[in-house]
Amino acid sequence: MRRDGRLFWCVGILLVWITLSTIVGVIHSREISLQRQQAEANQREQWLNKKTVGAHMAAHQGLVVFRPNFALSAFDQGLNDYVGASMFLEAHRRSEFQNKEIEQTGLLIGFGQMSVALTLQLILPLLIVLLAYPAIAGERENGTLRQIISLGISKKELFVGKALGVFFPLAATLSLLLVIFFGLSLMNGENSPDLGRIVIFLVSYSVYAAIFLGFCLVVSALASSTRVSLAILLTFWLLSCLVIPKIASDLGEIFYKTPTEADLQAMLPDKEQSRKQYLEETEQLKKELMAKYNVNDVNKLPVRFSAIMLDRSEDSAAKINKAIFDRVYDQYGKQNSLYQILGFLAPTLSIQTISMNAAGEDVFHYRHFADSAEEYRFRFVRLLNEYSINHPLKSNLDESVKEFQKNERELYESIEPFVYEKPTTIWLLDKTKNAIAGLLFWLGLISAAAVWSVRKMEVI
Amino acid sequence: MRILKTILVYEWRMLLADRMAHIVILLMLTISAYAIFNGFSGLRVQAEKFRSENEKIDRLYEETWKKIADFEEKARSQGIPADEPSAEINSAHLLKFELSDFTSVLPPNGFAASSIGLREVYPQTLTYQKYRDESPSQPTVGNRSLGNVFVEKNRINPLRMFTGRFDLTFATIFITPLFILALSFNLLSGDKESGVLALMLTNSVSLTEILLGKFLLRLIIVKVFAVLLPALGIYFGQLLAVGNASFPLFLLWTTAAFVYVLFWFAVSFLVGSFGHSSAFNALILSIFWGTLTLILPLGINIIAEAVYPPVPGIQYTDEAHKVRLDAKSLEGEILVDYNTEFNTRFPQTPQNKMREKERLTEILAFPDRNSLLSDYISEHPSIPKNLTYYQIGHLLERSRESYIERKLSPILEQTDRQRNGQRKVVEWLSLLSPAAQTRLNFDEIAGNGSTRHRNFVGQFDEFVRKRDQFYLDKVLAKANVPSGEVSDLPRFVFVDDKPFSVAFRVGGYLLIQLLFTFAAIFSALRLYRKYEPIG
Repeated sequence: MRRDGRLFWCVGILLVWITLSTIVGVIHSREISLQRQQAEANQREQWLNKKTVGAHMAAHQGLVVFRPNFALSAFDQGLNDYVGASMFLEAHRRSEFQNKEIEQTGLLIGFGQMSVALTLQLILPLLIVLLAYPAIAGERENGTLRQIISLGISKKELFVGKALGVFFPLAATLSLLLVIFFGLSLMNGENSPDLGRIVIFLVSYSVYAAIFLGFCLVVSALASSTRVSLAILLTFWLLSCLVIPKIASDLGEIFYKTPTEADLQAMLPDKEQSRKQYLEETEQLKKELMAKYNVNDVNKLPVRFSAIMLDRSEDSAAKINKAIFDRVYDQYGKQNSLYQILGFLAPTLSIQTISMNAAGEDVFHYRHFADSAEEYRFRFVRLLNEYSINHPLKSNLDESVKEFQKNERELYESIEPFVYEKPTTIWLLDKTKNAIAGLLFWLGLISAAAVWSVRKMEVI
Repeated sequence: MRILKTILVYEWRMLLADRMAHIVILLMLTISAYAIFNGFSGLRVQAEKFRSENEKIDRLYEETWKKIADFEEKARSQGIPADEPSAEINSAHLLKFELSDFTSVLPPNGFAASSIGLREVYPQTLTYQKYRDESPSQPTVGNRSLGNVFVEKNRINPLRMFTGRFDLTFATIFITPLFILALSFNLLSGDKESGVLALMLTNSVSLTEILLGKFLLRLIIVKVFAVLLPALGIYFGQLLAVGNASFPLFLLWTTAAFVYVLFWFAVSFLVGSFGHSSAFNALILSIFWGTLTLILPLGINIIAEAVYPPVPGIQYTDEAHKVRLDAKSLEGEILVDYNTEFNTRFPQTPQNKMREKERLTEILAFPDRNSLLSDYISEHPSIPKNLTYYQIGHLLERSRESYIERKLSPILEQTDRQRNGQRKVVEWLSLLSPAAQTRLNFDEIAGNGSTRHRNFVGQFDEFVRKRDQFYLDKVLAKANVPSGEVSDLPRFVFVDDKPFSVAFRVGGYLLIQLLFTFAAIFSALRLYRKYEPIG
């Protein structure tokens, strides 16, 4: 390996690539964090200094919340570029993520984005293949395998020795990552990495590299020539890293079709029927309230009747919006679960899932954030509606507006800013269990195959 | 020629006897079939949607024409001049709303199934709807922020966008080179190692003829199974599924694919000329493949983003929200003033009787309390000072959009600059990576690249501006639209790229790629002169 230059080139490429992708990832992640903090501060200021004509208008002017990034997203951006980082929260509507990064940078979309994760998922296995494919087959071809065995070295020792020969240089290079991780945790106070996630990340990648290394040695031990060994391993790499992920996502769409806009529109209640129901409820409520407060005109009620109706419609709109949102994300969840299960066919699917989940850049985390944002939206809109309900309009609308504008800052201050509680490591493990099982399956399979190949290995 | 024919026949028999060659050809066909199938996903729906939205607009105009014609008939029968300013269906004011709900779909072009490209990243559908949503947070459309324009929500799992799609572009760029390398890594080295080469050269046949024969046969196989057949599959598939296929684009795609295939044969040819073993050739070619298809394109992306960093979505969202809030607030101030004065002057006018309000025309000078309206008026001095209630509504809306655009133009221009800069960097650096360059070419040919999308959004943007100005001018002039002029009212028609423009954009890069290819082939031929047939 060393003599023919492969070791030098492979380790060199890995070192350069890991360094570059780490620098790029960390810088990018820090910039995004800073921008997010600034944007959140701006949003709060805009919220407090807002000038509008009524609480419900304030609810429509809404505010924007920003999805935070986890520390590990510096190493695996996952699906970040394909999902916007912000959501607009306003009355009656549940918005989706906005402003995807990929719209700004997507020209060479089919090649992926440089990151530590991509290096470890695609390039590291390729380098392992290039280093390990002739490990045993090459010795056999040259006739040196027979000589080595004749020296009293067992096939098992040979196998392990070959594995360590490839493992150590790569491990030394990759151990840089450990240093970087700890360095980050000291530097990056706001976004301190979760130890549990780091352990999952590092252990999974170690297992993944071991799977590829083991597979390469098994094939090398059994292949009739180095040419055959290289062909099989490259084919495996191609299938695992490039082809099967695409087919897996296609299968996800086939088995769990994402609802179309038309499907979701069909979930909305019939307009005519809703209008009729709304009018009936309005009449009913009017009668009840007028009876309760003993008045004969809805304008004489001590509460704002229109605001009460708005609040009720907020409730029903929230339920419908939730049903629509859940339908879409349930399907995404099922598609992603199938993707994880198909990791039993290709270890790359498992590691991709574990890695992006640990980095908090997967659909499950995005949904978690979206649900938290929606709960917050519902709360603050409710608070604004309550204000409207308890402050009926005066006969002179302008006076009502002026009175509102005297108190509006206090009202806005009473609404706490949005604080997002990140999910726990246990939650993460639950969402990732199929992928972990897939990776462990491959580890077991390769271990068994290694034992078997050592027995079946031919010396000549 | 006879010798060449003999070599071709010999090689063909050798390949037929080689199981690996059978597997390679079968895989090529299977992969192409799957890729073609995938390429059609969503295409039919898009084509259908394009047709149905056009029909919807036709129906809308037809119904509007009928309504106006009926009104004119009624006016005639009642002896009212139909061209009197009114708040009826034939007024520009109401027509603007009547015809304000339309959707434009970027139609799939004549070879769209060959590459999904950026179809799932950039919005393919733009809807224009007045007063559908007063929310101050409008989504951006690519690099423009268009008031009252809504993009269709992208219902694609982000994981699917992340893994990428198995279309013909992916198969051609990543997998076809591997087939080429599998067929040609041991072009001469295999025969050399088995001793056959020396034997062949004892006959009256030169090394060049042997090389040419081997090279040609493999080129023909790959050209037929990995280029021509899939391209024909796309062409006829589009004719059947979508009813639209372009022969010029078919030719362009096969040319681009052929140039790419030729490049990889040239690489294999060059590596073989160094005289190393088959195993070593396979290793070197694998490294080449990894470098040119994976590492270089990644590097190009990084350089493009480093030199022209994208404007983060967070920054845009934050600024856009602030600007829109300010605009709404300024608009609100003017409306409050106007309504206050109106209600003071005419306290008996019912609040919800808009037509009665409208009839009390030109009674108030519109307030110029803040910069929203006054800035717009100063840019358009022909606008009269006193306006009706409806007119001021239109003017406020227009000035609000103008204010937002003015305030957001620095960040939008910055976004444009960065995107254009990235595009230029990617286009130039892609000359170093045929995989990246071919990707861009294929996206252009399939009409799913950034150029066509930019044209679509740009044309729509231009149309929306002209339309809004058209109706505003008519509203300010209190003009009516007679039924005979309904068909002349603004309608969006997308002017698509001609195949020649696509060829022009792509042609230069193909020529450069060919230059590299021929340079590799000539270098290899020179090295083959010193090739040792025994060793």
